[in-house]
Amino acid sequence: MSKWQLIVKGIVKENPTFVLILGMCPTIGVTSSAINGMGMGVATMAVLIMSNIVISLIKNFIPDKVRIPAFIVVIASFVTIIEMLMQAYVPALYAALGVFIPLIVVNCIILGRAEAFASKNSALASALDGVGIGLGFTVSLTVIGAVREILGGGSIFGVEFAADVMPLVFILAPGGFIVLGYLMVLFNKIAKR
Amino acid sequence: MVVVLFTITAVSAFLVGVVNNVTKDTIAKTNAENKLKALTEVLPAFEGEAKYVHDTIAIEGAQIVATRVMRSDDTTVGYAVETHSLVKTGYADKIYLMVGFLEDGTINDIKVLSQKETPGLGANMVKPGNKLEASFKGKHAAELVFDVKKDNKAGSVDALSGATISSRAYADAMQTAYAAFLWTTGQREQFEKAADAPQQSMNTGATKSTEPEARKGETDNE
Repeated sequence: MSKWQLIVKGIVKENPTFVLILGMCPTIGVTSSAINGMGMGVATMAVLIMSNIVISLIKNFIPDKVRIPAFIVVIASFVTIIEMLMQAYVPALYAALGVFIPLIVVNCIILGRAEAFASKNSALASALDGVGIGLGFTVSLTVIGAVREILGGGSIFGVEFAADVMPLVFILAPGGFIVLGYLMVLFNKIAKR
Repeated sequence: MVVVLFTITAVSAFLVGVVNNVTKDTIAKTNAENKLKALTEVLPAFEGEAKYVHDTIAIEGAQIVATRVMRSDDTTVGYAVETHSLVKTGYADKIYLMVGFLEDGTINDIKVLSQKETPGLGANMVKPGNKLEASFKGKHAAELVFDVKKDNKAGSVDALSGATISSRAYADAMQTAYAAFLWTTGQREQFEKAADAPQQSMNTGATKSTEPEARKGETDNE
């Protein structure tokens, strides 16, 4: 597989949200607006790329039987360190993305890619896989967030055009499931062509 | 196998500890700076150096800090109260506010210091000019009833749409701030009155809370 294909497959063929259906909890939770979806996506992508590289580098030292706990410990420490560094040295970025960081630890995409890809491939390929899956996640969350924000809040990226008249249910979790379901159908129909 | 897992865990814990030690001072400093920034932002701007007198007030077991901000010639600009929701918590966590009072009790401005409400609903309280902020900003605190209109017809607070719980917590934090303001400005009689005012219970007024929620205050710098 070429390097380019590694990235593209994360967006289309192995889109984490619409095809692999991973990380549903943060997906429903944070996509109440487009900017939140994008923030979560970008933060996840950064962690995913780094954790894929680290896992890929240490994969040969980890015995098979304890690989899952080892991955979890590595990822959790890693995310905690990133959170503390961000809070200390780039407070502006932390103010925007900080709320998403602890959520990433429990995001199964990270562990899923560590297990399915990074533990079997080179560091470079794993990094590219992280870029692809991360982009796929970011695009999906931004789209879901945008649809929910338009339908439920009458605004897009915080710019209001019909506030207070739209059905609020789309901002709440049930609306999130409805939007996710329809977008999933739409995505798979287009992707299969 | 055990050795490898132990090594990984030990190394990870060690690294997290080291980074925590390195960053914690910087983080504390940033937080303090943010608070000071919020403190100056909720009061009218003025020329020259500011002087601060901090007053810690115990209200229902919580420590509320009211800061008197003065110009260099000792005239008072106003009072900034760092408050949070006490009786009614928000949807996810307490709501922390910085509230600026002018000397006559007019609410000059409000800044949300921290909140974990639902994005798109309760989190709209951080947007400038939202309904909650508009219910308080520029108003005279003595004329306000710190209840959401949905719970109490006489209430002065317009709730955010779909976020009544968050709005209740916000109103509660505001009431606490006003009580602290009254205490720190020495208006003890009004403080008792504001503190003893009956409040709606958590359950949309369906059940009244049995005991009056008395707010007794003590200052530590008198």
